[in-house]
Amino acid sequence: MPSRPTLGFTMIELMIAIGLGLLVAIVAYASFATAAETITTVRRMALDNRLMRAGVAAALDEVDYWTVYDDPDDTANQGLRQIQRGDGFAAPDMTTGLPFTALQAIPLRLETAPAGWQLRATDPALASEADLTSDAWLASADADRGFDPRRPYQANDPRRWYHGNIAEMSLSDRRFGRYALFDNQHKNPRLGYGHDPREIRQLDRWGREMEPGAATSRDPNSPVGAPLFRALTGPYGEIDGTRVPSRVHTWHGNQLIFLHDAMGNYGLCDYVPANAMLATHGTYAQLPRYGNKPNNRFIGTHDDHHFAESLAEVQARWASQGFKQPYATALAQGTIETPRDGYLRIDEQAEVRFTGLPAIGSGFGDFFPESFLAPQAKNSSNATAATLRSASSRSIPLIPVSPYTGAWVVGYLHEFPTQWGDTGGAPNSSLSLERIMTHHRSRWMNRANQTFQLTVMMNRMTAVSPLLAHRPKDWPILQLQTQRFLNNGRFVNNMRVRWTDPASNETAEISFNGLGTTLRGARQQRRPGGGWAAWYGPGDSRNNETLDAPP
Amino acid sequence: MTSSSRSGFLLIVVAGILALLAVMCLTFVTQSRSDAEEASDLDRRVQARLMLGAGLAYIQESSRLGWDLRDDDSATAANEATTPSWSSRYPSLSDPNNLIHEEAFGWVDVRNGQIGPLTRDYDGDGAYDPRFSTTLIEDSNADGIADRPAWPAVGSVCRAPLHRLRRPPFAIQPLATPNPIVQDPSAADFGLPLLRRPDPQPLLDSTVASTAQARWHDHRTGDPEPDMASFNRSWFRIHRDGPATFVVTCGAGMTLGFADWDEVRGAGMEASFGGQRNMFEDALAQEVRLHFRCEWSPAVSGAASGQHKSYPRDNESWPTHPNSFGNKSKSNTDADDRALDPGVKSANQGGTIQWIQRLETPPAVW
Repeated sequence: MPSRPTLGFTMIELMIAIGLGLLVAIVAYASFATAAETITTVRRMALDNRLMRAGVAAALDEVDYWTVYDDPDDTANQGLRQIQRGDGFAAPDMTTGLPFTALQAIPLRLETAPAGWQLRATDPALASEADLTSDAWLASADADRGFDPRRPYQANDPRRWYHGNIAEMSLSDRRFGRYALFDNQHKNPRLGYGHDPREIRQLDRWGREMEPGAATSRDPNSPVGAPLFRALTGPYGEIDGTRVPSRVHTWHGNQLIFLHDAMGNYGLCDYVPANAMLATHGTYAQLPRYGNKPNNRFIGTHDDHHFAESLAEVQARWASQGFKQPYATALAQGTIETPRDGYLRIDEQAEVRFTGLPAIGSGFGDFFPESFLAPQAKNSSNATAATLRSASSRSIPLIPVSPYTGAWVVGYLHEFPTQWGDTGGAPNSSLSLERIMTHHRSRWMNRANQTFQLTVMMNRMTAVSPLLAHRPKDWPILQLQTQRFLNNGRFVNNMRVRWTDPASNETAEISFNGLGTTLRGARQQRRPGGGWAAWYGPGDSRNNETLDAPP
Repeated sequence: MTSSSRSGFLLIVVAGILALLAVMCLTFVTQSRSDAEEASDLDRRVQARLMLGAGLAYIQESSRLGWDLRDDDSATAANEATTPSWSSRYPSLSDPNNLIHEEAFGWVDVRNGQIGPLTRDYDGDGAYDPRFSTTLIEDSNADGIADRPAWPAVGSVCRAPLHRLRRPPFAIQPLATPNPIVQDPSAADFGLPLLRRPDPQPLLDSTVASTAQARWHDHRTGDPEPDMASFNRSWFRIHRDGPATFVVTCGAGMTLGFADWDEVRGAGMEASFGGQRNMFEDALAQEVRLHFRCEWSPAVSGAASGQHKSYPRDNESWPTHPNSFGNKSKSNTDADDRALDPGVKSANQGGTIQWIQRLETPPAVW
């Protein structure tokens, strides 16, 4: 039988070939699919990584340059340079600034001369030891007003000291002595027990003392009201034929007032040294009921509703609290100044704070001074709600431009939000901006619906910046969220870089606390009219004017 | 179809698949390398920023500490030319290893407001002794003329290349329980908390002599050689441009904080770069530098302040214990945590940084 030619496939060969071919095709398909998926994943991951790096880089830049809060190159983003002329609800005659307001735009709110800025431009940057022990120099230096950016903090400069006894309280019994005798903002402290009748002056309509013959104007620019505190003589008699001066200490208090007026609470805390006492000693009180007269935030007390009582009310309240100290007794005996114009006047006010109405209803004012740290490498707190909650009363946020940005640097919700304004919602007609500014000044009350309040506060203090406004539609959404606040005496710059996949809606986030430019540093980076301020070295003629420049 | 043609077909298919895989791998590797290069730039920026913290901490600490005096100290030598000799008052200084750990009182002295660091009036001339000299002794541009004082005078510069030491001074072993309680019931000291060994235990060179003096010296000095894994990566440099103001330059790179090659030459440090300018320039080109300015303040931080209240209830407000001083109120709901917060209680005695400003461009002198 002749053999058959071997052209073509046998059935078995064909089946094997088809099977192998199918197998190869399936493997190839799977490989292609896997490869395509892998490449897509790798590209996506690479893109995420690149965006994350770009976000972190942007966050680091933001730590240093603060452009989210104020962009020197974009006038539309300079809302924190506004000037609030008056607080309609509380302080109609005040002019206050925001964190990036040029200092020279803020008038001094003084009851002492001079009416305008007074710096010692010709003095050396450091006051000498001889200066600081000279009565003449101290007397004149005490009248310095405004902010001098050249002067470093000198611990031995008495102007910067808190002259009271921090163990004393307002209306405590002064068992450590009467500090008002020597450390008073007022040149003639009313001694309570038989104060020198020569020093009794006419009172103005705010219950404050006027020089003889002065009219009732309290306009700091008016020469009528200006001469207060000028004379240095006091009621302490003479030594060797020389009258003993009652030295006044007005610089510190006015500095605090000015910085607070200029930049709000966050700015004040940024500019004063660490652990600064946000207080002065010896201011007598004029304490209207919720009146918030021009100087009432500092030169008043948080607890003014108590002081605004009549004498009989005060006596009754103190008696009910078992007060037996000599002061109460003296009050009862009428040996201290009786109220005038409805105000109880005392000469030794051991506490003076910058918050106006922090604790209505609680009976206890609970506020500053805190131990404020200067910014440094200790920014360890993270801006979580838990952190804020743990020390909520000591958080001072920096609110970016929003309806909640107020002259007072809004920040806290009162424990009675329905009574005092903020319900956590958007401002509306029943919650005017003025009210928010007035009642949300300094910090975060630790009461009433705390979690909700904290959430609201976190939202308000968070500046959200889209980093990729124009991007392919399948690219992740990239955001930088910035939070700057003071917490427990530490400045915190919390940066969050967040990217969200538009397809899966998955969100990832990197959060860190940055050490970098402080508010004062940021202000020194900026020119008053816009643009970045160049700095080449101390005294360099090429240096630009900054937001801190005096007028 | 012949068997050879079939083999060729399969070979083409397999080769195609392999080529595809190779392209994928190459793409992946290329992408990874690109990412790594981009990440390294960010890494350098972050590394440089870490130096800001180090530089500020140095300013804070050295406002009070670090001005040890020894016989060969140049500043002391300058003082001794015009003032009574230190060594005549402190004969022990004849031993160069015998330091007096002096305390200074701030960059702006808290006692008299003068430029510091000043120590005490050891020589009895009525003025606190400075630990700086304004004499120009450094050549910043290799022109052969001294144009800069030595650190820490105003106008001087301090370079600080940072790296880990192999073993820092006073290193301790990472032992949580150097004296565990014996858990063997048959042991005589079963269950007794005995302190047989030091706690913490020093980390010593195993080759050091066993005498107490040698071991203490080894513990005190450590091994100051750099850990090469951390060498030449970052530095900070401080220029004191005012009594309390400083330009802090932070770098991530290998220039050791020299501004330029002329400064390297002026300092006689060419050998650090193999004597080659190109090597320095290459390092400079890859380096990240950040310039900041800051001001130091003597105000210490962290201590809780006495908190006034609106009015006292009898003696409630009088501090009877340090922990109660600063605790705002017994009746306030939000005050208690303060007393428990060690971060608030821990005072920093080196002063604080009043402000920090990132400089967009390098200043004229840094």
